[in-house]
Formats: sequence, C-alpha cells, structure tokens
Amino acid sequence: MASDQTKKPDEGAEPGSPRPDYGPVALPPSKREPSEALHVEEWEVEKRPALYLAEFESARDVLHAAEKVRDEGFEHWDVHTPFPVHGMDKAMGLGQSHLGWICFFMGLIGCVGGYVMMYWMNGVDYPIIIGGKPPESIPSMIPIMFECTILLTGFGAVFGMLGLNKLPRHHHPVFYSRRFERCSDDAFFITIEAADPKFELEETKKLLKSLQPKHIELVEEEVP
Amino acid sequence: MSTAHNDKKGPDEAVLRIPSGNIWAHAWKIAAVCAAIGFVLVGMGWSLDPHRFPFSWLFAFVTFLTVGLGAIFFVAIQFLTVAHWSVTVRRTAEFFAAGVPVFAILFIPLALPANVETLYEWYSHGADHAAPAAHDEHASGESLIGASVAQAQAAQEPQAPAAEAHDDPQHALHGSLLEKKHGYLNYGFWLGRAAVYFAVWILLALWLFRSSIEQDKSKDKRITARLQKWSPGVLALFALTLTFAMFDWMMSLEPTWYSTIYGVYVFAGAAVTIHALVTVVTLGLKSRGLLGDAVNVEHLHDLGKMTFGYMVFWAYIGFSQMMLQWYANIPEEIVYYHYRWHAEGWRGVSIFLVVGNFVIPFIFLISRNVKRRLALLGIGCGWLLVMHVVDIFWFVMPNVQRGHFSVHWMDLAALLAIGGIYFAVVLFGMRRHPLIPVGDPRLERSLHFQNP
Repeated sequence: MASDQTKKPDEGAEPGSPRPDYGPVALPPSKREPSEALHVEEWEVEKRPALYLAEFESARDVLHAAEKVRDEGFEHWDVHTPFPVHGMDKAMGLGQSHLGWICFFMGLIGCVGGYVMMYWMNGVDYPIIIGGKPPESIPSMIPIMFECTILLTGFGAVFGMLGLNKLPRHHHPVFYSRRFERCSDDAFFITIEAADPKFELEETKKLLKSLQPKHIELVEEEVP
Repeated sequence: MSTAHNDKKGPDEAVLRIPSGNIWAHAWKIAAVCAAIGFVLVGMGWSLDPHRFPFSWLFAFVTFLTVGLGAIFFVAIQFLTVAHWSVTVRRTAEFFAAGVPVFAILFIPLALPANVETLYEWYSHGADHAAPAAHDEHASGESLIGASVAQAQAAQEPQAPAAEAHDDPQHALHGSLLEKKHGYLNYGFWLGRAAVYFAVWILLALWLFRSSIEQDKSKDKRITARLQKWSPGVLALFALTLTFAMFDWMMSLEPTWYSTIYGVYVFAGAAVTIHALVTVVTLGLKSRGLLGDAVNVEHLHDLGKMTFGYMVFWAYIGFSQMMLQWYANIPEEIVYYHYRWHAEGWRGVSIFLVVGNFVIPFIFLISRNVKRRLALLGIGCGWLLVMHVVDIFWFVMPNVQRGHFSVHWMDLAALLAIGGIYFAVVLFGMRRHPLIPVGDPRLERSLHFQNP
C-alpha cells in the first residue's frame, strides 16, 4: 500500500528541526528488534496510511490552516494544540455539542428520581414523622432532589463527554509519530485521517503543503 | 492569544454617545413625566389612606434602591475580578450607580415619625413601655412539640379557622422581645444608621462613577489600578451596609422575626436585577442604533449567564431560609412564613414567586441558544425585572394588614414616582457621557471578547 512518497515515522524530520532527546521511547513495532521467540515473518506486516500530520509554527497559523481545511470539506480531521485557541470552533466549523442536552435530561432524571425515591422511602415504605412534618412533605425532599440533579448532571457531563469523544480508546495511530509528543507542549498540529472520503494521498499532501506547515508527515498503521 | 487582537479597530465614536435626535436623549423626560404623575397619585393616596402609604412607599423605595445598590456591586465586582469581558457594559451599571444619591431624598417620607410608627411596631415599644406579661401559650397543657405538630396539621388544612388567632406566636412573644431589642431598634439610632448607610452609598457610587468618567478623558491606567486596589473594601462596605439597611428597614417590619441570611437574600435579588437591567438597557440602546459592535452577542451572552447564575443563587438562598425555619418551626421564626402561606392570597404570591422567579426562568434561560438570541434574552431579563417587583412586594406588603392580602393603586403609583425619579436621573446622566468607558485600559480586549 505504502508508496514511495510515504515516509516512515522519524525519517521525515528535517535536519534543522529541533528535537530534544527524550531518552528511550517505545518504538513502533516495525523498528523493534524482533525477539528470538517470535518469527521474523510476524513483523513484516502490511501497512497503510493512517493520517497526515502537519505541524504549524503558531496558534495563528494553525487557526488559519484549519479554516482552509474546513473549507475543503473534510470530515475526519482534527486540530491539536497545547492550549485552547479562541475561535477554533468556528475555524474548524464545529457544530454545537449535544452534551448540553445529555446533561439536561440526566439532571431532569436526577431531580424526578430524587423526588420519587424520597416519596417512596419517607411517604410509602416507612412513613415517619420528623419534627411534626407530614411524612411526604416536599421541602424536606428538595435538598435530596437538588443533590441527585447535580450528581446525575455530573455523570451526564463526564460520561457524555467521553461517549461523544469515543473515549476511552486504547490507541490512535497519531501516537506513532514522535513529533506528536510535543503536542501537549509547544507544537500545533492538524491531522487529516485516511478514513476521510476526500483523502487522497497526493492531493491531500498538496493541500497541506499549500498551508505552509513547518513539517508534514504521513503516519502509517498496520493493516489488521 | 487570540489572533483577533491584531486587527485593531476602535469603536465608532458616533455610536458611543446618545445623539440629540435619539429617543434615548428624551427618555429622561418620559421618566420625569411618570414621576410627576406618580407623585400626584401618591400624594392623593397618602391623604386617603395614611396607613397604607408608608408600606407602598417602602416597597417602591426598596425595589429601586436594590437596583442602585446592585449597580455598585456590579461595578465593584468587575474591578475585584479584574474582568475584561464586562468593560463595555460596565458603564451602563455605572450610570445606575450614579443615581443612588437620589434615594437619600426619597427616604425622607419613610423617616417621618408618623410613618415610622405605622411601619414598625418597635417604634411605640419604647423603654418606658411596661413589659407585658408574656402569656405563655404552651403552658396551658400544650407542649412545644405539641404546638409544632398542631401547626403542621394546620398546614395541611389551611382553612382551619383557629390557625390564625390561636397559633399567632407574635402575640405571645413580641412584648418582651421588643423590650430586649429596644437598644438597637429605637428611632434615634435607626435614623443615625440610615444616615451612615446613605453616606457610604453616596460615597461609593460617586467615587466609582467619577473615577471612570475621569478616565474617559485622562486614559490614566492608575485609575483602574486604584479601583482594583480598593474594590475589596468597597464590596465589604457594600455588604455590611446593605445587610444592616435591610435589617433596619425590612426585617424589622416584623421585629420579633429574624433571619441571619436576610441580607444575602436581598443582595441576591439585587444582583439578578442589575444584571437583567443592564442587559435590557443595553439591548434597548442597541435597538436604537447605539453602541454598535462595542457590545455584541458575546457580552450579552455573558450578562445572560450572570443573570441566570444569580437567579439560581436567589432561589438557593430563599430556599435555605425557608427550609431552616420551616423545619425548626419555632414560633417567633415561623410566623414570617405563616403570614405568607396561610393568609388568603399570599399563598398564591409565594407560589408565583417560586415558579415565576425560579422555575420558569430556569428552564427558559438555561440554554446557550436562548442567551445568544437577543430577543429571547431580553424577554427573559425583562421577566426577571417584573419578578423583582413581586419579590419586594412579598417582603413588605404582608405587613400592611397581617393575614390579609391586598393590592392598592398607590403601590403602583409609588413605583411610578420613585422609579420615575431614579430613571430620570440615570437617563439624564446617560446623555452626557460616553456609553462605554472609552479610557479603560482593557477596552481593547473587551471589544474582541469571545465566549469559548
């Protein structure tokens, strides 16, 4: 699959590009010494392009580059920056998150659930008079309804966020790139995945080049 | 880090001042006419119903005073938090803060001995007043717990005829309690405290306003630094004076009842109101072609968020007070809710307050889309302003005739009179100064502010 345009990870590093020595890191399987217990054949796996990784100089560059990628109509692509960049949502053409609705309905369930729980426990299952109040009086339930609302809204926010982001996942091919390690430090990246219907090995690379990135890299993954 | 910082485009000067042809240049006249009508009507009302007049006046007075005090809070909190989002909307609040001195004059009718006597029971309970024998209700066969249960049962049957007369603990307790409170609740000290509150408020309001106006011309960054340095002090003074003023003027309407959270409750209402009012006024200015892009959907979205947050805070504080007193069911405390729940008509107002000032706006304003759709945001904030009036009505008016609900045209007339005067002063000031603080060092950041 891999044509001669593709570069193996790390080989694409330009001479001048700064890359501090991070010490020993986990190398991709293709670079490991095959152990004696394994057959060499097992390591000669078929590979295919997974994504293009383009590195940019600054937040501004990556923002403007993202606008152009958005205008090209890509779907499976992403921007990686060490910190939130104002206006990136718009530049990437992201729609509105559905997380608010998840939280809202979880909160509603929590509120009603808290009421039903308290009503059943205090009013039906084991009616008990506290402070001379009717067993199922609502004011005494409001703190519990409030807490249940908060709890389920919190669950909705955290697990809804994980679900919408398709997390947790074991791995992503972008981590094959050593360059990408700096994404949480001082580097700005755009990735365009091969899964995108508009992805063309040549055309996409040309497009990314036109955005004048610091560096472009094709990251490959094994064919399962 | 926003890239937008680079394209420097200053706000268009033409839209930052109210031109003489604009409706906003004449709005103060409309307010002044309202005030004139209001004063005539209130004057008639005073002579026709001298018992109700001080209550109507106090209700209207506090309704608008909390707007002015909320404005002081709004301005000071922006400096305390070193906020840049709010720079372009801060001036609107500064105008409302600058109107606070007018309340010192509007307070005069409330300070007249005849009206103090009508409003506050403690006035006629001087030290010379013989302490009435506290006839103990509970001694006659009923234990304290028994009384509580009886009251809880009465809560189930609001129509129970005995509920009002028999369970009225005010009757039993207030004589001796008022004696004990005389050291604080007496006319001379009360007047002296009021003078201190007004002195502090006028000082704070004018200092905040004049500093900002001065900066318009001098562009001196040290003014911002000075305001930031003193903003904690401003807020401490604000919190203490607001709390004690509300103890003095509102809580002592029912002098044996007390709630330590009372000041916070009034503050929460004031904070909702000023945020909602700044939103509505800003939208009004924008609808007449003023402010341009200096205040855009991003700033209004944030104002909406703050309004929503303080509205929830109001509900939280209101419920905290209610739940503790409802649970404890101590006669001298529960009487407050007794009058606002078991009296005919007041139960409806109480429910309306919870639903109208919390449940409905909560559901309406919670969505980001609503807060960013300016017409809807204006409706939500306008509704909260109306509910603020109901909130203060619920505070003051059950005391006109305990246990009976009544609405009087004089209540509305007092709102017109006090609101008219206050808005006339504020709107008159608005014509004379730029509508945003053009000299603020953080103006540039505020103009390009974006919600994440």
